Amino acid sequence: MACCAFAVFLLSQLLMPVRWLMERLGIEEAARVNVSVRWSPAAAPETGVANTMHPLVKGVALAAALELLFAGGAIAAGSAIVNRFVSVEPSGFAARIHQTICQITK
Amino acid sequence: MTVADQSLPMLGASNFRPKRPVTMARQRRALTVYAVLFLTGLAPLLLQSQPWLQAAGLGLWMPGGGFLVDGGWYAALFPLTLILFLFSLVAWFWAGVVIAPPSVWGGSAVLAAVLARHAAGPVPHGVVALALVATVGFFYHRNAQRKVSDAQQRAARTQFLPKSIAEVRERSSSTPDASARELSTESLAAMRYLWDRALQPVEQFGGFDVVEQFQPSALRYQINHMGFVLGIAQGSYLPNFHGYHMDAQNNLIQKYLLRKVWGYWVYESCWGHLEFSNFDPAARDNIMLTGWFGMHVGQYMLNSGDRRYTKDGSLSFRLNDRTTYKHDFHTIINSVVENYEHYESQFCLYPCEPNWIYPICNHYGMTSLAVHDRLFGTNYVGRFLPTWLEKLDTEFTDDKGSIIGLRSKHLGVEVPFPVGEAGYSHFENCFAPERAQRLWAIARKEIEPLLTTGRDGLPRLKFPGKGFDVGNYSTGHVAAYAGVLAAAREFGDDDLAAAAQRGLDEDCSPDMTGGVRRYLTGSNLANTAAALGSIIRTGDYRRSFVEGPSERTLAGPLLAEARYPDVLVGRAYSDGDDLQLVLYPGNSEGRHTLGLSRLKPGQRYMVTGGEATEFVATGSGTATLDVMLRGRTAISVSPAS
Repeated sequence: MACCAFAVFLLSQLLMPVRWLMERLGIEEAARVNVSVRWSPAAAPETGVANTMHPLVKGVALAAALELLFAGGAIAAGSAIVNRFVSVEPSGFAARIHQTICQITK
Repeated sequence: MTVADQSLPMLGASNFRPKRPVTMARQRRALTVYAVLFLTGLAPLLLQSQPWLQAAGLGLWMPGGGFLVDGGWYAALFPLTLILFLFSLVAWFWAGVVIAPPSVWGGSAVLAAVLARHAAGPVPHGVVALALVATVGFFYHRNAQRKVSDAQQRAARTQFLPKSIAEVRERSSSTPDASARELSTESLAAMRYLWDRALQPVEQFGGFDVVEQFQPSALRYQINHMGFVLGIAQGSYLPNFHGYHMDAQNNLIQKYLLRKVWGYWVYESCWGHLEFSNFDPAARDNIMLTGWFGMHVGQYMLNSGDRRYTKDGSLSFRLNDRTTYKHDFHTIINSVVENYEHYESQFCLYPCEPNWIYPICNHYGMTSLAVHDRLFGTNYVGRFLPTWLEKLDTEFTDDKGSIIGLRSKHLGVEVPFPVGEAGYSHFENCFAPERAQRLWAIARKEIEPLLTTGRDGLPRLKFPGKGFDVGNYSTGHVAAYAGVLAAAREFGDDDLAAAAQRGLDEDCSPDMTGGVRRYLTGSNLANTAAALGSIIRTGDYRRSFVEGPSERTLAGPLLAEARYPDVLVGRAYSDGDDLQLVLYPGNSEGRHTLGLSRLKPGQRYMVTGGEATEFVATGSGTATLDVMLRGRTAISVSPAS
């Protein structure tokens, strides 16, 4: 099953740290038994379809969201400090971009 | 079919080094572009330009570097931008979002320019320069270490390879008797795992892993690999059974055409090719669809005799009410052909996601050409294989002789990760058998250190650690054991196959609830691989794509109707005139009615194993047959003389 093998290393390098962190934080991994594998036609419709967001994907999404939060907060804090102590007026296009960013991070 | 077996890069030859001319050219181009960016970024410092220019310039050196120019709180954005850049590389790799890395890099330079109020002198440039030197030093050191280990591994391979190849050739030479194949009860239980999923309505995906649609867990890969197993079963064991087995295979093909399965390409066209109007999935690149699906559909047609997917529009991808991309088997394969023509003078192997070239997906692509050649007498393999192999050897082979798993088309950089010779071996067996045997000869020796003793005192394979199941991004070794099992079976290495099977059974929580065999700690994809390992025997994978059943067999009588899961079909074979069946009761013993077709109209047939001892076929060549199923039930239908 070569199709499984070709991304193993890269994916493991990216996802394993998230999994390690989740384990250390006590966030339970999805049950070791795969729900989809237990599925049978006699079961209720669509049961066993693992179509909720996988916990690992949730972890990565959370990390990305935190990253953006930190970045946004840093920009907002920096802008506030600059605006307090520096009286230089940004001009033209740069001013419009700056204003937009400040609005987003407020 | 014509197959060209190429000579291999000579391991042990002192002058062996892949030359990689295309890779070198791409990397030189990338370095040249970076040099221009670097010098452009240096100019504002040398000219003592305004802070925003210095910030923008330093931002060209490294993502986020520009934030250091102003100093203060903004400096924290430098490491955060680097992390964001890493995420953008993941997005680039994961889903072909080519615009992600330049957006983060360029966007952070612009943002740094907007925020910069004063310049902190040359110190920020020194910091970024040090970071660049550290990065380059890290990769240089790692590459140097890899060169040393590759050289050692190549030397070891040179030692064991001749003997191992001889053993592989001997074991591969004995192939099973096509007229005597029969699925065991264990294999039937594995087949039920696939039949259960494939026989549900096309729009339903019960029992499939639905995680994301870009990488290995995607539905399309599950569908293709389930199809491969059913196709091998069709050709090797059930060439004269249509009924629910054909329904299962056609359901999978129809599932593939749902937008839920192929719709990822809409996004990748936008953010990878900057194509916002034409989302045809069988046009440019996307060999992860055309190669895989081409293999799947071609294998089905070869082993069943059904040619419905050669008709115009029989494999159409419907985007919405207004737009349908009409395809059939020929146009799917033509996409592979046209892309190989387009890229032939470059890497020849061509991308899955925009920019990323996976050799393994190109193995699917070449196998899809092989099955088209077998079906329709074309010579695509003969046309492309020589250049394809030359590029594989020179652009995608590392210093130890292993295939490099992934390379960027634009930049030429490789992503170093172990794929394993076993993974490529059964594909190459379809179009370059001698190379395939070499791959397996390496894999079987290098896996030997993992052999230990099982609970029953017999040899077993034992993978270390928790493993990683790419079918659902969870831990587990099901796919790894199953991969070795299938490759070992393909090359007749029964001892190693048995050791892999023991590893599966001891480590992966086998379950037989309801008569269906599955491994509870594996994904659907991994369980499909385990099913493949259960049914495959020497050369089956190759035969299912480049030989198929004989024409005489495919013209013989059919078991056309049997009720699933009441009747499990372990064998359905014809010599052209008769029909040999082995059936099992799926749930409980009892009487069942079978439907037969493609009989000679008006012919009297003798029956053994059925309730009647003879019947006469109708004017349309059909008949029904009542049978009492008790355990293994063998039925023979032959024309009366």
